Order: sequence, then C-alpha cells, then structure tokens
Amino acid sequence: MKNYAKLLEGKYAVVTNGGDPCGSAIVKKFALHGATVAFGVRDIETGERILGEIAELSPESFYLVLDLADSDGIEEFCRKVKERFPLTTVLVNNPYADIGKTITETTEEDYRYFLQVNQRSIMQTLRAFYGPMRDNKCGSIINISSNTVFKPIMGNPFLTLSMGTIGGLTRVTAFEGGEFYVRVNEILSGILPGQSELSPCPLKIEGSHVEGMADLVLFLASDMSSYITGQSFTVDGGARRQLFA
Amino acid sequence: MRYDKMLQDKHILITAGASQIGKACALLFASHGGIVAIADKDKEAGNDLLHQLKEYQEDSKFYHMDFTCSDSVRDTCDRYLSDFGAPDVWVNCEGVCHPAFIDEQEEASLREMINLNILSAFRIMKCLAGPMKEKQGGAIIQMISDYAVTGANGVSAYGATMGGLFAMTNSFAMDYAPYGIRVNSILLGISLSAMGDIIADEMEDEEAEEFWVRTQMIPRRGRVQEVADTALFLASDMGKLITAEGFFVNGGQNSIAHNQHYRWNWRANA
Repeated sequence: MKNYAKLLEGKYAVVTNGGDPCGSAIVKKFALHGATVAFGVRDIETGERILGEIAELSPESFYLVLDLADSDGIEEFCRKVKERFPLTTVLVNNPYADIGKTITETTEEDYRYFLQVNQRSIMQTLRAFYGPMRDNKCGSIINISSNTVFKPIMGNPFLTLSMGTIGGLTRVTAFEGGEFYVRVNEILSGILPGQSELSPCPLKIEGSHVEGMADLVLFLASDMSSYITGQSFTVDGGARRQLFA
Repeated sequence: MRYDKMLQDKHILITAGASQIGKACALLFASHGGIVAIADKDKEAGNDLLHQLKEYQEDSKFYHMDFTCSDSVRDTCDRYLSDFGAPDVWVNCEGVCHPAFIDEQEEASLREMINLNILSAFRIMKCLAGPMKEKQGGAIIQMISDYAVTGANGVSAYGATMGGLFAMTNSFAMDYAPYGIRVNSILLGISLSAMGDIIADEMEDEEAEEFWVRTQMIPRRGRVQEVADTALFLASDMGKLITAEGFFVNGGQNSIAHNQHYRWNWRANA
C-alpha cells in the first residue's frame, strides 16, 4: 500500500520555473509530500520567499536564479542540480513566455524568444535529466503547455506555436522512455503563464486554482499514475467544450 | 485535505462494483475514509466484498441491481438516495464487450451493448443528477474503453457504444459544471479489460509479453490498483480542476503506432 501522505518520499525533483503562482504551488506541494526540490526563479527575493515556506518540510531543497530565455543559463542550471542531487526522478517543465501581440506586430526576436523559452528549454532539460532516469529505470517528466494549443486566444500566435510542439516532444520521449519505466505527460494548462486562475471556467471551483494544478502535477509525478504515459491532460474546467454559458 | 484520508466521510456509490476494477476502487476508497456502497448484479461477489468493506466502515452497503431493467435501476437508486442522500462520488464500471467484424456481428448483440453500456449509464445519471445538483457538488467517474476514442480491429459495434458513452459523459459534464459537479472518464486500455485476460490466458507467456511490448509504451499489463488510483485522484479534491476530461490509463497505447517495426529495425541496426 502506498503512503498517500508522502507520495514523493525521498525523491529528488526539479521544477524549471518555480517562481510564478503555479510553479511555486508545485514546489510547495512536492515539499509537502517529502520530495527534495531544486527550482529555478527569476530573482533572489522570490527564491528566498518560497524557500522560507518549505524550509522546515524539505531542508535540502534549493533554488537557482534562472532565465529560460538564456540557453547557457539552463545548461548551467542543469549542471549545478546534477552536482547536488544523486538522481533526479521528477522533472517539471513549466515555461512561461507570454506576450500579447498579433501576428503582424510580432518580430523575429519575439519568435526566437518564444522558441527558446517554451520549446528549447524543455529539450535542454530533457537532455540533462532523461538519460539518468532511463539508466535507473525510474522517472516521471511533466511538461506544462497551454490549452491555447487547441483553442487559441486572440493576439498570442507564438504562445500557440511554441507550446504546440510540447505535445509531440512529450509523446516521443514517452515512447523512448516507456520500456525503461520513464513516464512523460503533458498538461495543457488553462492557467496562463504568471496567472493564478482559470479563465474562463464553466466549473464551479472552491479554493485555490493553482493548488488544483499542483495536485495534478503531484498525481503525474507520483506512482499513483504508474500506468499513464504519453498523454495530454487539458485543465480548463471544461471551457474547451463549452458552447453556451 | 489529508492525503491519507482523501475521501473522509464522503458517500460513494460504485455501480458494477463487486469485482475487478470496481472492487479495487471500493477497497481503496474505503481505506481513504469513504462510506462505500456497491450496486451489482452478482449477489455472491457483492456480499463477499461487503464483508471486506465493513471492516473499514460499518455503514457500507450492497444493492442487488439489474442494469438492463430501468425499474430495477430506479428502485436501487431510490434506495441509495434514501439511505445516504445524494452521493459525493459515483463510479460506474458497467460495460459489456462482444467483439466481432461487422459482417458477423448480430444486431441483437449490438442492442445488448447499447442497453448495458449506454442506456444503463443514462438511467443511473437520470436518477442521480437531480439530487447531486441540489447538493451543489460531487464527482462522477465513468469507466470506458479507450476504443471510444481510438477504435481498433474487431470492435466496430462495441467502439460505437463506448464512443457514445464518452460523448454523453462529456456533455453531461458541461451541463452540471456550474453546480460544481465534476464528470470525467477513465479510458482503459485493452490490458485492463476482459480481452487482457484472454491474451494472458490463451497466449504463451513469451508471446503475451511480446504483445504488450509491441503495442504499448509501458511494456506490461496494467493493474486494477492503477485504475483505482486514477479514480481516487478524480474522485477527491486532488482533481478539483478537472472536468469533461478522459484519462487514458493504458500504458500509452493510444499514442503509438501498434506495429513497432521501426523500433525493432532501429535496434537491430544500432
């Protein structure tokens, strides 16, 4: 019987972006369930604040300042985490690029920025952490993309474009990792990067939305989902199926 | 929420819950503090499970129910509602499969599948939806074959009933979302169905093993406990954002080409 109160007991987890509302909810949830977490944040203040909240639960956890737009920075981040963690078995990619511009307003720089933050950053962390997971036949990778992949919102073409590739990368990694019991899943999140609520949301939800998102990530990270891989889960309170409000 | 008692004092109804996946859900939910009631056509298996459930919770109940008969379904649901009130969680595991190619499929067997796979779910939904709506909350979990979405060889008629059930479940979810009722499906792979037993029984061990390796990302059969864990996630507050979604519990079968010659060729050349 599993210990449901400590679903990630003794595990080492990496969350690439632990600074935004969703990311920090995930970091705290993992710590609550006994994991040691390494997470990236964009500034020291955010890192210290989150670390302060989990210090008692998970004293070995740490943060590193990380800008997902800086590919050398990501390599550095992965290297430092691997120095400190014996074996990372949970990886959460939670990229955040989000600029409101229509197609005609976007520039080549915007395009490069989106592809680096939402796509290449994931490839980089996979290269760093997938290999050891495969060699040890244990691991769960969760890639968080956006529900705008299938139901685009106005004025953010590169969000849909860059996030749209995460599903394919998820399935191909799941395919490679399947026989080594490395599971890879995607969450099409209805909570936009940096936000803390689903909008719009037909479902009446009580309490914190990011908490619910963190619970799904926990489910996928833990052995509760041991037969689930290569899947994409849409979290939007049913908004994608709604015709009439 | 306490994660070791995720369903503390919740009222749970599991239809077709006396064996296999339903039974695994019942025992797991009871261990998480839920008050579990089972409805099933199999009296012996039902009473057997009831004994085990009573060790967790004295109030557990078993109802004998004939899924093919709308009077029996209404009567059972009425008895449940008067015993416990509207359920917090309803899990439906009813389903029957008669695989055949279309030219060999009898219309009668399709009718039976429509009756048991779609109509029985509809009948129970119809009885429970009103009281759950009044209660302003709850979770419904429908066990469905992943053929509802993917289709496969030899299951045209069965797949049609499963697809119908999936569509009905998703639309039902939208109707009751404003009342805080979450409705989701678990899309089960072949290894968790009766077909999985047939493959395990009739094929040589080596051949069966090769089958799972060839058709799935995770190269083994699924376990009913893995389905129960997913149901627990959806039934409890852990799944509070999730509605109108299908959770594939199939080892990644739907995401790969079934004939993985590419993988083996690549291996051979590597």
